[in-house]
Amino acid sequence: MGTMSSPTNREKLFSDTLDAAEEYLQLQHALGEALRAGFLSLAQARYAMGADRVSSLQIPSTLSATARVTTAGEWFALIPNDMLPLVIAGGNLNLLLQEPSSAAAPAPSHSPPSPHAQDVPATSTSVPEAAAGALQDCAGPPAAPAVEASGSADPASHGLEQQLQQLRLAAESHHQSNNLMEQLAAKYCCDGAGTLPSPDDPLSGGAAVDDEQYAEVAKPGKPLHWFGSLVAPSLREAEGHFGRALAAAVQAANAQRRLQKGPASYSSAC
Amino acid sequence: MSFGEDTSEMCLFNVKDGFLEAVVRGYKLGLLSTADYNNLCQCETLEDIKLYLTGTDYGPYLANEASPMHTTTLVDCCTRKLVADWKYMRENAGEPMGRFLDYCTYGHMIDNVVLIVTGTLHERDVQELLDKCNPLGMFDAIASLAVAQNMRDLYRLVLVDTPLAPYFSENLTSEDLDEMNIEVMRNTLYKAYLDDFSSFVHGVGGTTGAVMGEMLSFEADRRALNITLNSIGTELTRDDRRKLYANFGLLYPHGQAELAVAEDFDQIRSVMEKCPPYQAIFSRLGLGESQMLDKILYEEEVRQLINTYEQQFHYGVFYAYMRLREQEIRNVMWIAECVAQDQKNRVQDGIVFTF
Repeated sequence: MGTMSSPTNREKLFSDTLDAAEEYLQLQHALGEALRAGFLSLAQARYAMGADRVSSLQIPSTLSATARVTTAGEWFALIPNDMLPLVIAGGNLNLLLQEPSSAAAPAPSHSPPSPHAQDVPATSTSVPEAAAGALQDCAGPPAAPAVEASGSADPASHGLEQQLQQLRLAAESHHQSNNLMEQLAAKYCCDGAGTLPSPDDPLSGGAAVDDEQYAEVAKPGKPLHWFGSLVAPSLREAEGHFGRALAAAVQAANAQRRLQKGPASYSSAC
Repeated sequence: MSFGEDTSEMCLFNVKDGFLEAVVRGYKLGLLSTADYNNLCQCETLEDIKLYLTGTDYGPYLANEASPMHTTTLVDCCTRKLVADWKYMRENAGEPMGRFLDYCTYGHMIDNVVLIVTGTLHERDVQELLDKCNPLGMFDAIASLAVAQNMRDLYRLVLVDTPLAPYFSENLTSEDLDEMNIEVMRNTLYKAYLDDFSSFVHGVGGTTGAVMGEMLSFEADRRALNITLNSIGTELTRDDRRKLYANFGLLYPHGQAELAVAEDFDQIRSVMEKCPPYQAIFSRLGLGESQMLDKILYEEEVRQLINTYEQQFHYGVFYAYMRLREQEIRNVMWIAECVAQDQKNRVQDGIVFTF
């Protein structure tokens, strides 16, 4: 406690809070710029291809997500749906967040969860290469190293699908809030604290994940093909811009979470 | 053309087609000028754009539109003006001008077919799709396109009784209509249409053949260029790409053979610059600047379209009017998009001035 309240530590906490604020503002700006560029590229595509070829009529009546936002402890992570089989093969979101050297990481396939998953320690410091590569595909601002595992390890039998469904049930009871974090949590199926349910939670189950459930969702199709197979380069640029915007939005949410923690940490240190 | 052919063309053209040539030249005077575009660029909102266009030829079509305005509403109203003009000319046309005017609309027919088929693939409501079809390309039984499962059904059930029937090859496949097959179908139909249109205008001959031959040649080359550019990085093979190019044009056949194997914009550029008319166009582009290519090609097209009005007694003025109106609608759409997105600093990137 004496260490926590030392002037040096308080100064560091204050500095970290300012850094988080700056990062949040930069990410907000990046998000805005990516959206503006995306909509302008979309207009350029309509100019080049014709208004009838780039319109709402090309959008299918039923849509499926190409990426999901999930939580690991306090942080949000954006995972493209074609990456989900990797998560399921791992059988444990914490396992996904392990450093490759610290765990027997499973091969990226549809194989059942590794029997060693239960022994994996809970802490993590980095996103594995596959997930990081998926985030880098969005070509957005550099991903902040903020994706961390929660405290206790989940049993390997808790599949991601099961967890997301249970969190959705928990989120239904939350009332609407003006707090961005709570809105995001309610929308993306996590509880207010952004944590996964504990094994003792009555809503949790021990059923293993059925890979077949993701057979269709894992391949939602490329939205670019809604407008045809031979689309103008400006439409491809628009796709890239919107992908970057999505990544920036998730990173901005994480940055806002860090920013919110700052004053609380500083107050407790005083 | 010989002196005798020139004289007979000048003497006889006005007997049947002189009235409509005068009508279309009157329509052409109603196109927006540079001053109009400069005023439109000063507009702050879509309502301002609508207010300004109410004082132009688009007035009757925009006056009763309720607020709030959207970009699509502006485009639809402007398109109604073109459709009304075209319909008037078609109803008063004799032959072979009537057939020429029909040829000008077959491209829109192809676009409508693809729109219906694609929309059905995406499980959209058929009536919603029909409402958005280009009126210039409508035909009977177009709604029946929604029931076709493959190209063979498409032809057998619906298109066999339409002007597009000759454009379907004998080797119709039973493959399901997916995005790539639909795209190949679109471009194959358009290739056959351009070839047929070119044969028709050369059959008409005279000034029409000369003027339209030049414009269709540019259209064929531009389509080859766009197909090449848009297919980079896709699963379309070189052979399939080559099959989509028309069988005429300045790039036919050697330029097309080189375009078929091009893998990036710089290779495409080096191919196009071997052709002197296109060298001047591509010299205006900076290195790697593919974004401006569309505008530069549209500018070249508009230059050729305006030049058609320097000659009389030919059908090219009607084709030119349709394309100039479409370019004008594109300009208005671009201005509206820039105003709506608060990106007025980019508005000059897309306007192609007519006069």
